[in-house]
Amino acid sequence: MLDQLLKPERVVLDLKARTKEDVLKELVDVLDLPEDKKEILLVTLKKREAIGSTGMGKGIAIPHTRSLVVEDVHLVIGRSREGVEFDAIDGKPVHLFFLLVAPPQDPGTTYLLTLGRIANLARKLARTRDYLEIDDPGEFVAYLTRLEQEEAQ
Amino acid sequence: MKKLPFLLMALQDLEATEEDVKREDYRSIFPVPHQAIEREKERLRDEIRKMGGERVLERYERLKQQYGKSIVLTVGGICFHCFAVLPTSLEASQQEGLLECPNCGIFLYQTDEEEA
Repeated sequence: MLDQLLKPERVVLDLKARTKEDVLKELVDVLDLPEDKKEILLVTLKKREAIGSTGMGKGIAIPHTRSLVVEDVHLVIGRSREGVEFDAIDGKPVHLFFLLVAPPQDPGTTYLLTLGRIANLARKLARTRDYLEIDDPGEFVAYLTRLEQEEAQ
Repeated sequence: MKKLPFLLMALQDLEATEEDVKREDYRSIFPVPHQAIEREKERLRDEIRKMGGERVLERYERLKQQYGKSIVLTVGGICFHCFAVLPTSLEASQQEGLLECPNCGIFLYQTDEEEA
């Protein structure tokens, strides 16, 4: 299921951002949206973070929100080898980010199902550091797809 | 930045998240306390009030009760709630560029794409 959303052009393997806000901005920038929609999305993502960090611990975060400015569910992946302080529950820097955004109405509940699948994937990724070694976005997508399928078995 | 419509959209998006947070499948991943959402919603409302938007907030709540939502995008010059064709000279009837659909009354957000 995640393979429908995982796209090499939506994978940033060397995030330049060094702060929480800049990470969100860099991930949102990947989406093909006009600037004002990106700005709205950023405001909403920051509000979501304000109610509780999406940094799940073990170096992984899943910033997510519903927003009027998107018509479909979108997934962007960002990786930072250095790690970024993201107020994660374990207080440790985050190396891997899954940005998930969805419209307010989502009849197929794709968003929540996807969130659940990413959370499962994150638990598996938390046991390894292999994702820090891959240098090609296409390979990265293949790696995550393989892991997700293993997870589903 | 069209701040007032931004804040209204952020409030509406946060309310959509609030519905997710009530679900067990969501809570099993992110157990967000209800009070945290209420606190953020109140912060947003305060920001809107500070911009003189008290009446806007009242109208927001009335629209939400009436339609289940209060603000929509305009798409191709059409209100994306009632699908009425909007006049080309749609003017802001409130401060900060806040637009209303002349047909259904819902708040509208005209994106940069639309204005271009």
